Amino acid sequence: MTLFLQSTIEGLSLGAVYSLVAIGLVIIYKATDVLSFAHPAIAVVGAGLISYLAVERGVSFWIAFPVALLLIGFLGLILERTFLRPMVGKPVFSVAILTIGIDILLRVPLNNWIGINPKFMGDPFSTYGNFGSFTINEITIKYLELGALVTAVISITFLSIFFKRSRYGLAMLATSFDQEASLAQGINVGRIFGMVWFIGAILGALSGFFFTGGFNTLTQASFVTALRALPAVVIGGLDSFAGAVVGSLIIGLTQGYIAYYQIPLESFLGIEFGSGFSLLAPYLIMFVVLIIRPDGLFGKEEVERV
Amino acid sequence: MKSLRKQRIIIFLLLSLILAACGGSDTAEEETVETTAAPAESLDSPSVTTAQAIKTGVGVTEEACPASYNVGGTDVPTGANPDQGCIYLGLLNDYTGPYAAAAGALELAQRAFWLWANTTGGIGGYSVAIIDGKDTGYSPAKHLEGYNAIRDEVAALAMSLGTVQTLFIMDEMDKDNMVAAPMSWYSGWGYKSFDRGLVAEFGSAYCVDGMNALDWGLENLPKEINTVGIIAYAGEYGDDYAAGVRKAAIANGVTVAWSYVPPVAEFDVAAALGLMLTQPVDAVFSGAPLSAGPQIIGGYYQQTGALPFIFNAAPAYNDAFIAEGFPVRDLYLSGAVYNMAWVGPFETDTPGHAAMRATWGNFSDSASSYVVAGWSSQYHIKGVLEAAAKGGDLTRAGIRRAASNVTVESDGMMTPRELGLDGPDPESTITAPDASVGSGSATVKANYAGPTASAYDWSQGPCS
Repeated sequence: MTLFLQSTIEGLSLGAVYSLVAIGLVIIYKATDVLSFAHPAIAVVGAGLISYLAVERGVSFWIAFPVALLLIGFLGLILERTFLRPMVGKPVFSVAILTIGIDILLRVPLNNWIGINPKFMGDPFSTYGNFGSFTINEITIKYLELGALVTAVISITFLSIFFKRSRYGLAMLATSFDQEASLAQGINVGRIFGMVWFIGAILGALSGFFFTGGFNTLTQASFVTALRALPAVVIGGLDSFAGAVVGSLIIGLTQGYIAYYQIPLESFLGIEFGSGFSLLAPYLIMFVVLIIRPDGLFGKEEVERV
Repeated sequence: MKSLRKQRIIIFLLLSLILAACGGSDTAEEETVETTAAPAESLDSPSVTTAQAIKTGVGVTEEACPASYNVGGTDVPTGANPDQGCIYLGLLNDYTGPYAAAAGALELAQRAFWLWANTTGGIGGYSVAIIDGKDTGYSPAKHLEGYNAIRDEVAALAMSLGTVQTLFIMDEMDKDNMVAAPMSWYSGWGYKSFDRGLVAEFGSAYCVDGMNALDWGLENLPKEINTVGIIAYAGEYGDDYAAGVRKAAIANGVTVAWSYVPPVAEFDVAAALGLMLTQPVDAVFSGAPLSAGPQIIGGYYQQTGALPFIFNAAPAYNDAFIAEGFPVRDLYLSGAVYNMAWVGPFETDTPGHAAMRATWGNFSDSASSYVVAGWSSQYHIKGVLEAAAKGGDLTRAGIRRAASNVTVESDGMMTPRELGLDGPDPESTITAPDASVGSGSATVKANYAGPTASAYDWSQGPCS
């Protein structure tokens, strides 16, 4: 039972981190209809900025953290204003390809800065309790991942209210449905896009911190963790916050259970799944979900008039 | 009519000269003979002591080497003697791929080595210069592209970075008789039958390190090792390291409880950690990626409050792990972690290390293992070139012949070795994290050859 609970906690923790990446992807998709492939790069640039300020410049982590988030938000604004604004009204496919270019543009200088030495964030999470964890009934819970879970819940609550109640939130939703119609209704689509990228970039940096914080460290390969949230948003539905979270938790729990139960399962079934199965399994789930519900578990079915 | 015939003769001669100048680069080398002073009678083989003249070919000129090369905006002196000819070496480096961050240290250390070698006499009346490096991006295709760009300019390669990448150009190297120093420690480089006598291997092979790590652990650690786990990348250096650990486990009757060896893109820290937690072992042998090492160690300690013994392959450890403020610094310094080294760390007390430190001090204050790797990689190429010069044949064919029949030494940095002697060198250097030295590693045991590596039948071929 302890093993089961521990693997569940591990899975939920992973899911919480993925959900922060996924929410950032969903907010951009909801407003612009584009799946931003630049999001993993924004996440690691955010982490890099926190590390630069807190470790290399010696700024207190609690100051470096919000300052870096804000700066990344402005980076999102600049990216939108420079590269994406001219693409308003252009095919979604072209914009998606452009985000791949932005991803490369951001990661090349970051990788040069990271070099061969892993960077750490200078955060205090790993100093709390037992190397950053505490124990309840033999179950180990990590402060950093608990923080990710709480942050994800707060972010989702805030964004749900924002999209339902606020003027700008409603304008974002309207823009995602039809950019031209929104323009005709007097919505400043350009400003909405800027705002979306501002919020999306902050969420990206937030997720970047949680998967590089503590002793996770930032390396040139860290962005791969963010990429693992992609099947989560596909499972949950690209336009649903709830779906993003549920999809992330499914991915996280799958990874967690396979990490702890793969060998007993292989012995029981008499089949060897191989060493990389824990990362393959989420994609298998994604295929199954897409066969049953092509728009994801919470995604809205698109009806197009021909 | 007479003048027409004369004109034809002139045109024929001109064409002949042009063809000779362009030359066929594949097999036939342009060879010149340069008479030099008789070498001192202190050579190993009597057959080469009598050489009076040196044949030269592609990549060797009678003109002096450039005084410096521009590397990353800085002029790096070659130390070449302006009165000597020049032997040019090529460089296939990874400036934009996963080892880009190490590229600078590797290259500078290699150039520093030749600066030192040139100022202490050069090679058989020649100085040596590394031409501008070519970027491979750690991609076999780009590696070949880079090779093709320099194949007609150099006598040998100062560096060919990566095992797969070097294997990818092996056929071309074979055609050109191009000898190379590898920047990889695959056990296959120890076999002439495998590398066709073209690779001047150096340092300890990963497979040997895997064997020696377990043997040394069994002999020296205070706690008995009965079960081990292996974490590594598939197809990368980790495979060779894991193969060595498995062979040592069989030889010692130790149980390999589990192996987590996924492809690079599928490495999952949670899965590795799950294996460690659900099936605890006495020692873990890790060729994990740099980002995963701290997560695995820290994650395991969080849940158990203890660590098994951990033996990292050389690329799985980085001195950043023990930097002030690094979250799991104390765990790395706890005494449970050991690292295998390609060559003894920067501070090691040998004449070769001392020469490196003295020269390198003019370049940087870094004591990274990549500096040691870059510098030490050139010793065996130097030995090969010296043997070729002593044999009076600095053509590429002559250099290749020399590489197949030479014992190289490195001022104590590595054990003297006959290249390609049907198996890798059975010795390893075992280090432990140490925050008091610049390299972050202190030698625990140098030149250790455990019973498995010593008794292993290396005629079976490479480990993986």
